[in-house]
Amino acid sequence: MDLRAALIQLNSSDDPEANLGETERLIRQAAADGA
Amino acid sequence: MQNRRLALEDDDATLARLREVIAELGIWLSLGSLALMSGDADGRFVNRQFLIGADGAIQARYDKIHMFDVELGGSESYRESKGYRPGGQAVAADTPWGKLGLTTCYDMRFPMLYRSLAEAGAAILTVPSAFTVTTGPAHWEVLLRARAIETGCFVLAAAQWGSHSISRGRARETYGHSIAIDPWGRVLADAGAGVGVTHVTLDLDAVAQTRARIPSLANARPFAPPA
Repeated sequence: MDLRAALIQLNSSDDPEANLGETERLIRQAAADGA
Repeated sequence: MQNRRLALEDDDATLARLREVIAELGIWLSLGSLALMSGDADGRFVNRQFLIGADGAIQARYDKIHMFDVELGGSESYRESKGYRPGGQAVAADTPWGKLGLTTCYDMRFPMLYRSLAEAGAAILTVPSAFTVTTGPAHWEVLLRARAIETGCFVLAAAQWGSHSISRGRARETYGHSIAIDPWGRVLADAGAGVGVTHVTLDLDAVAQTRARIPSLANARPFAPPA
């Protein structure tokens, strides 16, 4: 059985709203690319 | 101590929003990690990793056990236990791809935790991390490869990278190099520097195949400590 996984590498700051926005963007990108 | 920007788990906006996103996308997410208020009277936080299922439900949560209390030399020192309450429970959770063991960052230096997870049936180990540029080049890959080899597990370690602007305290530089490693210790993917997504396909049959070749989990023996 195969698992298609994605590692999301972040550059987080102390701005939680900015971190959340970037995380969500990259999660959506990972899913769109098959994760 | 209080930090008005941190919340209890039930009130955390990041966790709530990402659960919505995961439910919409129908994928699984290892979210590691979030700093959350513990609710304890001493005001300490927890460093908590979540495993979120495809329906957005929390399948597992893990509070980082080993606190990063170190002196790296010069002015670089860390006292994680000052602000964070350590966890005391190893966590492995069932997924559609087998059992997944949750660990975080500095935990990787404590192989007995990984042995425990493998003995509990884990096939995949997550290690979300923020390794420094001091320790990263020397220790990051070799430690994670060792954890994969000695457990016969896949290791998935997503990382922080770059300079982290913070309004209080000292700015930090993290190493990046998010990495995926197979049970034989081969690096399947290394993200290097920069922000982004790195994809990897895991052939999960490799767990049983590798453990059949090198049955070190099965061959483990009890022993007495040195006198």
